[in-house]
Amino acid sequence: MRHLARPLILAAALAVFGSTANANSLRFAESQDIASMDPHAARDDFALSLLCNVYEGLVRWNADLKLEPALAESWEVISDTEWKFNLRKDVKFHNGNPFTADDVIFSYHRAGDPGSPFAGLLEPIDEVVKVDDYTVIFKVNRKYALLLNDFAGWYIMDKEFQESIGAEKPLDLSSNAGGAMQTQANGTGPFKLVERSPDVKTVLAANPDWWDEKKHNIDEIVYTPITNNATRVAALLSGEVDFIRNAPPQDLERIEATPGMKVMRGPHLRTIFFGMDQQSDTLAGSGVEGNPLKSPLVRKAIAMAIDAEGIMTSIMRGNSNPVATQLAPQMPYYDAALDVRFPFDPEGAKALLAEAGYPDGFTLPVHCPQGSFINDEQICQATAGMLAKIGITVQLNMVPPVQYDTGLPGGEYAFYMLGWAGLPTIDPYNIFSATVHSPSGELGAWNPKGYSNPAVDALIIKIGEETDPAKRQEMISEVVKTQRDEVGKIMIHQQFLTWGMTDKVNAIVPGDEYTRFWYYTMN
Amino acid sequence: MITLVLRRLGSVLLVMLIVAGLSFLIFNYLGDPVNNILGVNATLDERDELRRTLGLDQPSYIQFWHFLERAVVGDFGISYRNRVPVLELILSRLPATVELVVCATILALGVGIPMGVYCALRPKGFFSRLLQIIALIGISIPQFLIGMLLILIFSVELRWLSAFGRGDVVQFGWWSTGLLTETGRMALIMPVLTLAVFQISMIMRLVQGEMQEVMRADFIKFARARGLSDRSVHLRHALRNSLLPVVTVVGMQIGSLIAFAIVCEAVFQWPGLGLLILQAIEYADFPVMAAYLALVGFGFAMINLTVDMIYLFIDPRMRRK
Amino acid sequence: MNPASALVVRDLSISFDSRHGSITAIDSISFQLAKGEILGIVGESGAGKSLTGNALIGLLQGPGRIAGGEILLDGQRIDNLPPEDQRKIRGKRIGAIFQDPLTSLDPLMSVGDQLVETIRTHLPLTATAARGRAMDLLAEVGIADPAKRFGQYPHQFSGGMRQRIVIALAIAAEPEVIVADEPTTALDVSIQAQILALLRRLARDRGTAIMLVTHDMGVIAEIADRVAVMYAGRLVEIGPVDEVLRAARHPYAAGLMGLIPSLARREARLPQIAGSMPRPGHWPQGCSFHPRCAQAGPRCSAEVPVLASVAASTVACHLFSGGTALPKGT
Repeated sequence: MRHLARPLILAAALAVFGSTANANSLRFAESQDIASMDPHAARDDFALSLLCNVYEGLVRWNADLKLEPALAESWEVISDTEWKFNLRKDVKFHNGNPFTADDVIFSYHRAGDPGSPFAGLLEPIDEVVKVDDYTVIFKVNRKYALLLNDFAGWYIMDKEFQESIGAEKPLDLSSNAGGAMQTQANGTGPFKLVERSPDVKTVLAANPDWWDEKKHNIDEIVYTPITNNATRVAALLSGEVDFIRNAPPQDLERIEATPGMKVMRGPHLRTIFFGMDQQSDTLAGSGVEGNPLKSPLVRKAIAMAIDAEGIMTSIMRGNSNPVATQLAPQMPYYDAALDVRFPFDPEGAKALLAEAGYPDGFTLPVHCPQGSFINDEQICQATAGMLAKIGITVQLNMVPPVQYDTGLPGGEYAFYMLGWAGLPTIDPYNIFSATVHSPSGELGAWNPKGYSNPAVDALIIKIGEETDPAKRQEMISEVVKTQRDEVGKIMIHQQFLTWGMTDKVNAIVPGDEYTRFWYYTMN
Repeated sequence: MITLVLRRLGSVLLVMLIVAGLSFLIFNYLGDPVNNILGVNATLDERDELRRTLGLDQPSYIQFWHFLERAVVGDFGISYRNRVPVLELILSRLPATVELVVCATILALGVGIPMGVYCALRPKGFFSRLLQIIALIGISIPQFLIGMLLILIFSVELRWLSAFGRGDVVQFGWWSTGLLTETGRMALIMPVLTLAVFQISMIMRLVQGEMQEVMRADFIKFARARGLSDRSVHLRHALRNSLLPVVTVVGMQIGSLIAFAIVCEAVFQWPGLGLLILQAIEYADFPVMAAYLALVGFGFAMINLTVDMIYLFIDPRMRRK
Repeated sequence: MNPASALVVRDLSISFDSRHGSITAIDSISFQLAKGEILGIVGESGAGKSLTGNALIGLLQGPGRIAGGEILLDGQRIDNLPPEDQRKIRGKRIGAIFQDPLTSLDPLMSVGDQLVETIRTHLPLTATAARGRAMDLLAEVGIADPAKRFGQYPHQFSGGMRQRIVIALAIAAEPEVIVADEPTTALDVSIQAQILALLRRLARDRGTAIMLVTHDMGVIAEIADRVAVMYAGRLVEIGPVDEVLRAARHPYAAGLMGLIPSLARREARLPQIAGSMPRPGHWPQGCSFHPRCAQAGPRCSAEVPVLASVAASTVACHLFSGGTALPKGT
């Protein structure tokens, strides 16, 4: 074991009470640690939201969530199936290795080969051809609109370094090799890893050789996972950390009332909704014949019975935005004209139920995650109360996320809460393909037995291929409108991000929840 | 004696086997690690492929058998979450928990026993009554609340102690200790106190009750009649005889401290086994859970063995030729 | 006062304080104990025998306290000494033996250690010297192979052996007086005789005065020099054992002696006298025995009889004091 050979090492100071030197140290606490420093280890936005400071893709999202060149200086579409990328020439990895086309090709195979977690993301790519050290051509297997979006979430690693530590594969649960990426990282990003003790502390330092113009003034980022919400807030209030992402809703007032503290808010790309089984012929446990959820009238009745404004004020304490469609206003191709909710109208809902043949209502089994989304349990409970008023008896099942994320795509739930943000693609296509398209193959994985409309399915495929923004807008609005009118999902709201920090920190709060520290400054 | 130890070690192995076996049975109900390993955007094929690779598509008993096959050679698999060998992972987290539990036990004994003795000797005194009230409160308040109260007072208000973490640690091989650094010792204060409050109260009440009982025994009266000093009567005779049941209960309590430590470690972000298992459960990290449960079974059995040994040491009646 | 008296008890009263006031449990008893003498104290349970014994060794418990009178050890008053001085007398000058040898010894400490502990508490000896003395004591009380037995624990000894060890502990510092409270009651008959013989020998060889509390008349007959009979917290008769056994004067004492079991046929215990002894706080006026006394007269229920000499004995009964309840000779 590596540990046994390790000599007596004094771990560096935790810098608990104030930073030691004049250096700007941003002490950052989060509810969990990232599983690994490997950006290909999982398609896990939580990990990538931090690793985006260490690694970079060919392109990246800027502060306004617009794509901009990163490791690729420029690109051109040669044909429907060929994209040429001109790589940036002055880029060095943190260990000093130069960044070249070989690293891009290595990273493609590492992330995209069968068995790797990113194989699905990179699936449109057939081959990456090296033209010279700073030019590569990606050959895609079909006309594909979202290559750039996908590339923003696929990070480039150093071929030579990865081979030297024996971590050529991202997912190797049969040998010890995967452990190498626990404590090591070699990227090109604005911050480099200087110390890491998994689940305890991760220290990043500013990369002095970063290719981009440095706008931040942070010298060091000390990242500490603090699992318990109350402790994390206490750590902020006691001045032991400067910044906590996702401050618990119940503590926001306390943080804001503390001198020298503030809460920065921002809309999240994630919208929360109920999905449901619209395919089965019966609804187990409903007490009625057939499957009421197949009826658009019933679905609309449920939608009209839910008071999203009430949930916003009483449960979310104002930190949400009721929406009518799955596209948050900050999502590209959002269409405000379509974002009109069915009126909150329990009487009308009752009438619709009666019209659909369920004047006495029915019993609805509802599954709800415990802690996947902000206040998920309370929202489900409130929903149960609201549906009771129109005669639908909700049988509520609370499920831990780790089971929920298995049961939901497994089609075990008839009526379930789900949130989707469209990450890391930040395009409606990601939302549609995962949660709107009929379940088939790789599509509709999070829409089991759910909404299904062949016309919509066809549109979704085209949205994935079409590159012309105007045409995409038209098709996307069509999908949104159709699904809304047919009540494919029952929409609740868009979550707000609430980040707590000291006044010293100037952060940006982007809708994808990523902490892009290179935009941060400290007073 | 050696037979006893050997027989006990045999039962320890059995306990570990049963615990690990049971854990495999319940894994099926704990969720699917594949989602966490691959992320929500992973495709169905990727999930199935990984499930096959990990052997999760096989029945529990086959998985358990594979686990055993590897476990006998010291290979508990690779953590799904941390991606390092489970044994290495557990060993790296073990010192933090051991340090916490041992310090809490020492504190509980060091404070609980004298308090119990005091209350037994002066059951009606003002200070005794005060201690008894404090003990009652200590037993009643949930540990989580004690921890949060301490954090609010000493971290948020007074800013004396760090609300989380272990401070600086010194590494000796695979063992790490916070006892040798200032920040490490400071970091121990609140978690140890949180963990010990219940134990202090319990040991105090136990010692008090037992000792009051023993003080009524004939041999105490006879010890007095022999003219022994109060100190000798109280400590050498009464206390020693009171400690027999205390040893049993304390042994069981140390076992339960491992469980209590989970809450305490979560509150103070103490990087020990408790935090590890919480994260493992959240992640459905089966190899870590199986190894942890087997290890806890081992720990409990070893504590029982130690209690038996201590019994032999202090009670001559238990020794057989 | 008899200069040879090891122990003098004079007008000793013991009371229990409770919320309802003070209850007298021992009412003004007096007796003496000469060096080398064995004084048996007999009476039914609750008569105050053990209470008296506890008072002598300074171990009155709970709410009980000495309410009057004095206890003199070798002419020196000890009942009013500070607790620490009383402790120094316990074990050193007054030894004690309790009823149950099974529970008198600390089960967790070897008998040798208990002996050494006791010896070194009272005598300025080194550990080695104390150990030697402990061996000698074990030998003296008849424990074979003391060197081997020294490190053993109480549970490794039989009941009789344990009582021998208790006796060894009691005489560890060569006390002048031993208070033995039912020392043989818990033992087998065959063992009883051995223990009694051991006590007898101690009194004879060492000149130790022994106050032997018992309700077993057979034991009294076996070894006591004098016997004192207690009833409801009072001494009713005290005299040489032969005289009291042969011709007890006090009607209660006489009833008690009515049937003296020998050690050979000791299945009979205290012979029954009709009625039962009143508990402290419920004593009748006058002689507390009068409700059960066949010879009681009007005076008996009015006046507490005082001790008066009758031949070699002293008796507290109106039958034998000046103005009698009934004419003499009837």
